[in-house]
Amino acid sequence: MKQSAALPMAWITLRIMIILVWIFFGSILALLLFSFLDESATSKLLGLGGLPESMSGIRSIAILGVLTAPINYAILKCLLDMVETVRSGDPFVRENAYRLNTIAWLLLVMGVANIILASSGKRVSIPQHAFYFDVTWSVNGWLAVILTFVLARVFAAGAMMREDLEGTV
Amino acid sequence: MAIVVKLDELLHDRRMTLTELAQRIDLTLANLSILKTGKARAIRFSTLEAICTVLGCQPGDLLEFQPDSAELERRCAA
Repeated sequence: MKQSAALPMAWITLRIMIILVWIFFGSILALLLFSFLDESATSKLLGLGGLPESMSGIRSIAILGVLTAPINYAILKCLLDMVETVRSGDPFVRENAYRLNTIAWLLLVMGVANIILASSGKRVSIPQHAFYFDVTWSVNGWLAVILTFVLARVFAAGAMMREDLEGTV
Repeated sequence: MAIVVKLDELLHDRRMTLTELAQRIDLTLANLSILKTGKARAIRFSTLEAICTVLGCQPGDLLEFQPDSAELERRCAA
């Protein structure tokens, strides 16, 4: 089978995204810790204008960001492992069905986290702020969850058919 | 599995080796070994036909249904 350029590109992109997730994780964690060490400097840095209620809101968003980073990593790692199986020419295996199922559940968690983030963002920031959160609820994310659950079932059925085919004499 | 493949006995009766049968029915030795050891999940009609033709037997001579103990218990309980 002819190798597609999409696979190496996907592999590189996923690797870069994993690095970015950990950079994001480190940055948010540093911001969170710094906000406890020097609240006024953090407030000034973010352009919050020294409003204490904004700082607590920012901290809750930062905590959410720190908590969701490992979830993002897990999703990307599962995808990377799947890309590896496609590259090795054997994608219809049970492990990929489990991976897709895991991704679907994690996307569901991310969808819920997104709702919390959107509501927190609306509570702590106004358009006049330099630090304005505009996270909106999207139907695409929930469609992705459904699609991934369905794909997981498709892969499970595909893996079963593959096993049957391999065991057919 | 409840289906037992009696290829070994048939080959023994006909003084034929597995390699020889594999060559005559144009199947790989590895695949025929899978069938002989009962590890196969399915058998094609074309394979069954080829084996029966070469060994001069019926499909029933090659395959036998032996319900396992769990299946027997389930049937007795029903």
